[in-house]
Amino acid sequence: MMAMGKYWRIVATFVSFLIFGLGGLIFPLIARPLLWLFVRDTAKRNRLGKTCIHYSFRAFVEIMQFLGVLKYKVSGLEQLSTSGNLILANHPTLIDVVMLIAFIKNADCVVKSSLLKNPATSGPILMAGYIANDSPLAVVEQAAHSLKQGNNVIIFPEGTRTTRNEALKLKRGAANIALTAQTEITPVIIHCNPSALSKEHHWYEAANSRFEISINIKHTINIDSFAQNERTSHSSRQLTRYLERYFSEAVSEQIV
Amino acid sequence: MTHEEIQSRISEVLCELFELDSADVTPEARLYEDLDIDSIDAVDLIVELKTMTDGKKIDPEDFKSVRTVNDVIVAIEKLMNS
Repeated sequence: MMAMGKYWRIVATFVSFLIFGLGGLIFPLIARPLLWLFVRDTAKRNRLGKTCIHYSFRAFVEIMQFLGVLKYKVSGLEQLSTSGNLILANHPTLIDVVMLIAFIKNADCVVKSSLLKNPATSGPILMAGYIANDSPLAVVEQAAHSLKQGNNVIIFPEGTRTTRNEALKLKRGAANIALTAQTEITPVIIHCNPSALSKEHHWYEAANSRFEISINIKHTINIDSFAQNERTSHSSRQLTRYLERYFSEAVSEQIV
Repeated sequence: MTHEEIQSRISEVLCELFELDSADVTPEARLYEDLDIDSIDAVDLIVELKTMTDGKKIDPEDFKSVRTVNDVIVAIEKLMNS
């Protein structure tokens, strides 16, 4: 019976990837021209595109749960009742951004620019108008602008998926965005048990058992005390060190 | 300013701006890899270095080719003599 479950999950995991890939390719092919035709205002169109991606990712997550690939748990969504939140999350799995977009409305995110070359991901990215991480300076500006427009901007400050058993190291970009936009930080702690779809695992290892992914939206971090420095280079370093400590502690707490 | 003066002034600026230890700021040190100075820091650095060159500013485009501390020194010397 255990073995049957495993074979089923290999199929289910593969089917999930297939749905994501084909969905990401086909859905924007149909939806983007329609949006373009009926919504002439770029800002409105991007917002509607974000909403479309939000609901289709939500449907995708529900399908994965239905197929028995994963089980999700989300807490603290009430922290996001206002608009224009800067959301910083740790990054244990491949599907973190999908999970976050699925549950957070008006989500904008900073994505690897190489994903624009991937036919399964370029459509959704362009449709929602997500920010590509070509130039760090441009990312800071665009993210601050997006926050001002009321979007919830999602960033993985580690810049890449977390490597287990290694000290958590953050890039300074996230701190720079918070300081530029003068906004509070909403930390999100993602935990996946057992570890799956991480940097160290092959995709099919996710099928060994149903994995449980929990998303915990925490209380906001006020950055005023960091913004008082005369130099931004000092502020961003201090804030980044603070966030490194915060995430290291929060991630290890949740494992216990 | 002599070459040595420029070098020591740049070293001072780097230490002050980016919380570095002056022993680490050798001419060969690479800004990004060794000193953890990213492209956003570079903007602060360019602004700060302006005071050395009577307001003449390094073109951020030119700054993209700057890799090491010595590259910064050379760029500033060039600007001072231009």
